[in-house]
This record gives sequence, C-alpha cells and structure tokens, in this order.
Amino acid sequence: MFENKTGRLIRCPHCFAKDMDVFLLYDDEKDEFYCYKCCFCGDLKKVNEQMQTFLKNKYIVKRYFEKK
Amino acid sequence: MKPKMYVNVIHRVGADDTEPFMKQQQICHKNNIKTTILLRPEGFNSDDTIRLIKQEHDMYGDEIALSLHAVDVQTKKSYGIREGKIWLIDFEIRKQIIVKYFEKFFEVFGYYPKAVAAYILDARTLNFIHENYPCVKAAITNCFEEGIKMFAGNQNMWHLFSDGGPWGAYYPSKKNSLIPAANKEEYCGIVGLPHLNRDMLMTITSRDDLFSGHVANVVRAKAYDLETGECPYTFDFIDMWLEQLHYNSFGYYNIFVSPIWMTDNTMLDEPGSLSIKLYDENMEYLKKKISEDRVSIMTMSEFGEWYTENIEIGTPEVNNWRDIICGTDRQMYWYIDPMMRVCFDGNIGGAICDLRPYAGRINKDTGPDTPNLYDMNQPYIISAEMRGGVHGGSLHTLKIYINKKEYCVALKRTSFIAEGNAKINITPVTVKSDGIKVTFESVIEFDGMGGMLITRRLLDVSDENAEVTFEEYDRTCFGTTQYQGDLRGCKLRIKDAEDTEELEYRYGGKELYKADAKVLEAVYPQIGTAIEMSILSDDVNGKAEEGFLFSPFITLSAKRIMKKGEELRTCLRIKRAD
Ligand SMILES: [Zn+2]
Repeated sequence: MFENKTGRLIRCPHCFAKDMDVFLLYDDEKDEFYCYKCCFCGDLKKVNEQMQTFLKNKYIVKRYFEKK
Repeated sequence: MKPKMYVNVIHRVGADDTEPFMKQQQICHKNNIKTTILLRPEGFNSDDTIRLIKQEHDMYGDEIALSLHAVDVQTKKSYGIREGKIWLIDFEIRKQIIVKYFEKFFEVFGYYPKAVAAYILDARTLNFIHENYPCVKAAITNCFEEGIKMFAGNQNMWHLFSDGGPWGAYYPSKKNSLIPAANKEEYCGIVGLPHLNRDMLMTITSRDDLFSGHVANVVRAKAYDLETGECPYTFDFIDMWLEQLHYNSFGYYNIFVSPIWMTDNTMLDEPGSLSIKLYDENMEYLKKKISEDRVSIMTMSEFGEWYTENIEIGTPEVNNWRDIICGTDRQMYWYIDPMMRVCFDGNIGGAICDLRPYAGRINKDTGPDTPNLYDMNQPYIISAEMRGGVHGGSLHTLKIYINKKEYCVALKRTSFIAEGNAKINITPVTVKSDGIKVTFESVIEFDGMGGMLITRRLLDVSDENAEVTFEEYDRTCFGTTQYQGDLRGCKLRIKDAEDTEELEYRYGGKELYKADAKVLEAVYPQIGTAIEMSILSDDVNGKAEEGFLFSPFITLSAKRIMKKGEELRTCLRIKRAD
C-alpha cells in the first residue's frame, strides 16, 4: 500500500513534530517525498535533516540517573 | 462586464479602543477606502466613540453597523447571565438583547443598522432579525473552518464551531444559517458573509485562523520574513482571491481586523507596529487593484444590496486554490451549491477529502436550549482530515487494479484545471505496477444541486494484455468532530435492473453485491442525508459494505474491467434521505 521509494515507511517530520505519524508519499517524476496531511515536501536529505533537528531539540539522549 | 472582487473593510470599535481604531481608519481613508464600522455595545455608552464614528460616517461615507458578537457587561448583569457570546445565549434572552441593541442604535443614530456581525449567527437569530428589522441587508454569520483545529491550536479553549459552511457570500437558508438557500422561499432575507477570507489550502492542512486576509493573524503564524518584516504572502493572498474571478462571476473579500491587533497589547511577541505596517501595505495594494479596475470597495450593506440585485439564488461558487506559502504545487478545489460543499485535494490524486451534505437541511441552531449546544459544525460525510483518508479512512477516490494488484490513486499527486463554476478536469495520472504503465484522466461535472457526474477515462495501457480494472470508491461516515457518530440505523442499498437489496447498519461488517449494479446508496437518517452512486456504464460490479467498530464507514464501490479509451461513469448525488 505504501508506495514510497525506499520501501520502508518514512514519517513526515512536520507531522511528527505535532505527534502524528503520517507516512510520506513518493513522487518518482520529481524524485521527492511529500505529505498528504500537511504541506511538507522534499528529498530524503531534507526529511532526515528536519527530523534530526527536531529530535535534537526535543530530547536529551543521556542517562538521567547518571547525570548527577 | 469583467468580473470584480467586492471588498468590505471592517473595523470594530467599542469604548476603549478608539485610538488604534482611528489609526486603522486613517490608513484606509488615506487610500480612498471606505470602511464599515461595527459598533460594539460598549460603545453606546461612550460619547467619544459615538462622536468619532458619526464624524467618520459624515466625512468618508463609512457605514455604521452593529456588532452583535459579544454582549456588554452591563447587559449581562441585567439579565443575570455569564454567557457573553450572542449565539450561545438562550434564545428568549438573546431576542431581548438584540432588540435592546437595535433600539439603542436607533436612539443614538436615528436609524436602524443595515448590517450586523458576530463570529457565528444561527438561523433562528437571522430569521428573528429579518422579521423585526428587515432593513438589515448583510450579516457576518460564520468563521470559515475555525472549528476543530483552531480549537486544538488555542489550548482547547476557543469555542467557535462553524465548520462546513460557505467561504464566501451566500443566501443563508431559513432552516440553517450555514446552508445556501435553494430558492427564494427558503432564503432568510439577509445576505450571509464570512468573517475574513481564508487560505483555502491551509484551511485543510493547517490552522486557518493563521492564514487569512487578517495581517496580524499572518504575523501570529510567523509567515513573514523574520529579518525584514516583509510579508509577500499577504499580497499573494489577495492575488489568489482575484484568480477566483476566472471561475465565478464575482468575488467577495473582507478584511476584518480588530483594533487591538494594531497595538502592543496582544498575545504576539511582535510589536503592533509590524501589523500596522502590513495593514498599511495591504490597503495600498488594494488601492492599486482598484485602479486596475479589479477591486471595488463597498460597505457591508452596499454589498448586500449589490449581491441581491446581481447574483441569483442557488448560484454555485468554486475556489481553485494553490499553495502560496509552503512552496509546493499542492492544489485544492472547492465547490458549493445548495445541496453540498465539497473539496478535492491534488495531493491525494484529486480525491474528495471533505464533503458536507446540505440536502438534509438539519437544524444547527445553537444555545443551551438546543440539542446542538455550542456545535454549529455542519456534519461531514467525508473528512480525510478528521476521519482518516488515504490509509483506509473516509475518502472518495479511484482505485486501479493492474492484473488484480490494487493501486489507490490517492497515493499520486495531480492538479486541477477548472472550467467555470461547473466542471473540473483532473490532470492525467499514470500508475505503474510490475513495469506496466496505466494512464487515466478524470472529469467532474457539477449539476448545481448536489450531483457530480464523474468520468474516469483509461487513456493508455503500456501492455495490452494487462487486465485493468477501475473501481469508483466511496467511503463515508458522519460526524462533526474526529469521533464517530453512531451509525446504527443507517442503511445500505444496492439495485440492479430487477430488484433492490437493503441492509441496516449494525457494525456487522456485512456486504451487499450485484454483478450488474445500477444504483448504490448509503442512507444517514441521523443527518437526513442519502448519498447515491448511480452507475451509468454497463457491466459494472457493485458492492455496498457495512463497516465495524474499528473501521466505522459505509463503502460503496463500482468496479469495471476497462479497455483503452473506455470510460467508467458514475453520478454521485447528495440528496435528502427519504
Ligand atoms: Zn506532514
């Protein structure tokens, strides 16, 4: 059912930031991913960058109990 | 005559906001733009306000009209109520308050107002105003699609539910203020207007209270250049509304920014001066459009009169909108007539992503004395936004089977070419399966009373031995929020040349099937609505599917094996449930 290029599900970074799982669709003519829910659109590099920026700002990936 | 866009610039003033209000007035008058001044009830007690607005009326021809949106503290006290929003007040008290304000208006100005406004006005309020004050020509009746998402975006605190109505000017029905009247008998007598024009794409994909002709709303969205304070979007926004003149015989646009947004005293971190600057630029831009003869400025009641003289009751309106802010080519196409409002989304293969049936003419009056309480949302039967679309939710689309392998067209992008207010061509889409390419196109023709003739034409198949099947696929439900309405009591029907089979909805997941079906039907007695899919092509398998609790929908499907050049034609009709 999912037709994006990589064969695995890629979630929209903008919708993910709103706590929503929305799987990007792939346009093979333009070689880009796009969201059917919001207006996100871009290549895999852009998807990954935006997801990483969001995650970097959202989580502190460190042991909480070893911090002190 | 070349179609024009008629513009109302509306300023609301009370007792303590005359300074920013006058700033707005000056910006408009500097650009030769006259305004409609909505007097808030607090203003009746302010000599300053009354003097100022009388002066503005005399000098510039601005119209003084009445804001009914919020009841003043004194009046609330005198009726012993805490509710301040007019459409949410018990109707017996509401009527008395309206009479009080109209009479006060007469006392102060020597005439009754010819235009009124609230964020929401229900049918019984419009009917009451028309019966008692027939001089009222126009009313702001709703905030287009400021329902569910705006609620969530405002800390779930902003109770403003008028989803599913018209985006432009219309003749409200006596039975339901968000439904366009079908004929003269049904018209409530007051032209309905929206509170602001909205971005007709962001209204689906984002919060539409952030993307409108209201410059401070756009600032709130931070959709401007953070370094320079420039906001190209606001100009594109006006231009995109002007584009709609290609499809309709006129356009309506209003700018309604309350004075508070021109001050530093807002919830924004930007200073009021930014909104003032953008407001100024917007008015200058409108002035330019006036000089190009594309825009005409009117007051609210002037427009109401123009509209009743020039636009026939029942005239459909369309909106063919493109993304002008996120940099994609996404397109949304909207259509409204007295029986339905429908939106097609280019990012999901031109599928119907939102469908509001009006044929049932259900009562949507609001207040503590109604079953609706606060909820004036017009029920949807398709809302991809609220009830899922692409992955098994509510949607109307085409599915294609290439050698029995299913392919949902909603997973492809496409665009629309609109013809007037009655037809769209959906740009050909190619789907590929195991190296086989299938190209098809779709045409949707509207009949003006809830009917859509849908033609799917198979243009090309790369492998002539491939078996290609088209399935017109319609999955509906009903509700006004994300949560499902109770579907028990709904009916599914299927007819062929011989007989009709019927199934009552019990969440049983059953199905009805006919090899040579002629008509499929889903009946929603809860909203007085039936959706009928008539099959106009031969040799079509029909199926009507009952859903179940985890997937609560009614699915109608019309399947046909296709040869190159052939068409699958169906007519989808929204009608009153019999
Ligand atoms: Zn998204």
